[in-house]
Amino acid sequence: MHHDDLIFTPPAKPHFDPWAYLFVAPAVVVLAVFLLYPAAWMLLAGFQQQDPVAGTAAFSGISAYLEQLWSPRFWRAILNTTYFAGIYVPGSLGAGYVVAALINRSGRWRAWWRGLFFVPVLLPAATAGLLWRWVYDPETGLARRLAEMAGVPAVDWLNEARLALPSIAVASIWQSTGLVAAIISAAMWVQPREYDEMAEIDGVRGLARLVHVRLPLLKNALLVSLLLLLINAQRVFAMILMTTQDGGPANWSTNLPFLVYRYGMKEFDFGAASAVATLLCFSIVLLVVLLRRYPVEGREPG
Amino acid sequence: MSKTVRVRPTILLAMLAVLWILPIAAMLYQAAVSRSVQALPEGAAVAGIARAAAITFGASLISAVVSCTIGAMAGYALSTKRFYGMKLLFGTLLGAMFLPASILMVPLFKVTVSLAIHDTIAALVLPACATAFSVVFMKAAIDRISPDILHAARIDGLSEIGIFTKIVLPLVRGPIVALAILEFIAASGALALPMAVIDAPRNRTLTLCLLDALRAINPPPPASLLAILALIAVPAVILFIAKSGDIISGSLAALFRYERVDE
Repeated sequence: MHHDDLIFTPPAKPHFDPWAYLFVAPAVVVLAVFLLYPAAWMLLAGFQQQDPVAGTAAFSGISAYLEQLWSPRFWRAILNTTYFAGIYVPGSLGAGYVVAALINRSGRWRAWWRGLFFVPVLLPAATAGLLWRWVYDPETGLARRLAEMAGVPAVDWLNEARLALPSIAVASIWQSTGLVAAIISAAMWVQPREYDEMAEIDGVRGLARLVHVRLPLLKNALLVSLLLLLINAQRVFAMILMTTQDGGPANWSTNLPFLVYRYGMKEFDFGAASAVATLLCFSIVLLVVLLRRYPVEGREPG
Repeated sequence: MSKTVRVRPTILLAMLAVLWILPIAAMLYQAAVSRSVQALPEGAAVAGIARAAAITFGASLISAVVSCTIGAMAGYALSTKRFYGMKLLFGTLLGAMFLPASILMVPLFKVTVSLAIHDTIAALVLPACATAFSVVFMKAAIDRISPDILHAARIDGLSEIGIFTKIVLPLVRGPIVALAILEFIAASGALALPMAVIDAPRNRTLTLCLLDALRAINPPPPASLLAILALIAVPAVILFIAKSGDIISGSLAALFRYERVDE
C-alpha cells in the first residue's frame, strides 16, 4: 500500500491552492478585462436603451429583442447565415474528407501534403478575404482569367445579389478544408483495417462500403468537424468585410456577425447590436458544449 | 491492378493541391509582375506602410510572447492542480475561445476608452496578451507530460516555480513555439480589434491599411494591395512550414479533446 503514495495522483477534490491561483491570475485578469467584461457589457446592453451622445442608459427590457423580430434585415441576416452554412458546411466536410482520404493513401509525403492544405487555414481571414476579392475581381481577377481561358463569359461574382454569398462561401471552404482534412486524416489513421477487409471479402464495395463501413468508423471525427464548421459559419466577418465591404449588394451578403458590426459600429444602435450578438453567443456556446462531448482519437499520418 | 490504385490518389491529390495553391501562387505572381508597372504606392504611402508593418509585427511579437507565457502558466495550473473554480474557469475559456471579436467591437472600444489606452499601441497589445486559445492549447500540451515526472521533481524538493520553469517549460518547448507562431499570425492578421481600438492613421496596422485602401475613392491598383497582403502572409507561411507538425497536432488537441494514439 505504501508505494501508492509514490505514484502522483492529483487530489481528487478541488481545494484552496494558492500556487494555482497565482499561476492562473495573469490570464484571468487579462481575459476578464478584455473578453469577459466586454461580453457581459454586451449581454446587458441588449436590455438597455443607450444614448450614445449623452452616454446614458435606461432599462428597456426585451424591447431590443422584440424589435429584431420585426426587422427584415435581421431575418435577411438569419437567412444569409443559414444559406452560407448550407454551402460552406457540406462543402468543407466533403472536400476535407476527400483530401484526407487521398492524403492517407499517398505514401511517404503525407505530412507534406497535409501541411500544404493547412496553409490557407493559417491565413488570417482578412488576408484570405482580400486574396479572394482579387480572385473575383471583374477586371484583373483570377476568376476572369480562368473564364477567358475556358471561353465562358466573365461574371462579377461579388456584385451579383445571388452570387455574392455563395462566392464568399467558396472562399471559406477553401480556407477550412485543410483543418477538416487534418482532423479526419488523423482519425482515419487509427481506424482498424479489418473492417475494410471484411467488407471487401463480403463484396461490400463502393458507396455501400463508404456509408456502412468507413463513415461510421469516423463518427466522432466527422461530428467534431461538422460542429466546428457550424460554429465557424456563424463567425464569418473579416471575409465579408474584405470582399463586399458593406455586406452588399443590398444586404445580400450580410450575415449575423456583420449585422452586429453594422448596428454597433456604423449605426450606433448598441441595443440592437447587443441583442443580435447575444443570440449569436448563445448559439456558438451551445455548439462548443456539444463539441467537447466527442473526443477524437487519432495519430498524425507521417 | 494494384499499381493503378496506388498511383491515382497521388495524382488526384496533386490536382487538388494545385487548385488550393493556385489563388496564392497567382496572387504572388501578379504582385511580382505588376511591380514594374508603377503599381506600387510611392513616397509617403510606402513610409506609411512601413510604419504600419513595424507596428503590426512589433505589437504581434510582444503579445505572442506574453500570451504564450501567460497561457503556459494558466495551462500548467489547470492541467496539474485541483483548485476551487477550475471547472468554471476552464468552461468559460472553452466558451470564450470561439467568440468572434467582431461582435465585441463596441464594448472593446469602450473598455480601451475607460482605461485611457484608446488609439494607442497598448490597446493593440494588451487584449491579445492572453487568449482563451493559448490557455486551452497549453493545458492540452501539459496534459501529455507524465505526472510521475512532476511528482519526482516535487519529491526532489523543487519549488513550484522551479517545477514550472525547469521541468514543464523545457518539456513543452515544441508546443510553445507552435503556439507563439499561431498567436503571432492571429495578432498580425487581426481585423476587428484594430478596427475597434485604433483611429489615428499613424497607429494603423497593416490590416487597417488594406481596409482603408479598399475604401478609398480611388482604390490603388490591386497589385499594390497584393504586395501589402504578401507582407502579412509571408512571415506566417514561412514560420508555418518550419513548425507545421506541432501546430496541427497541438491545435487539434486543444480544440477537440484529441487523443493522440501512439504506437
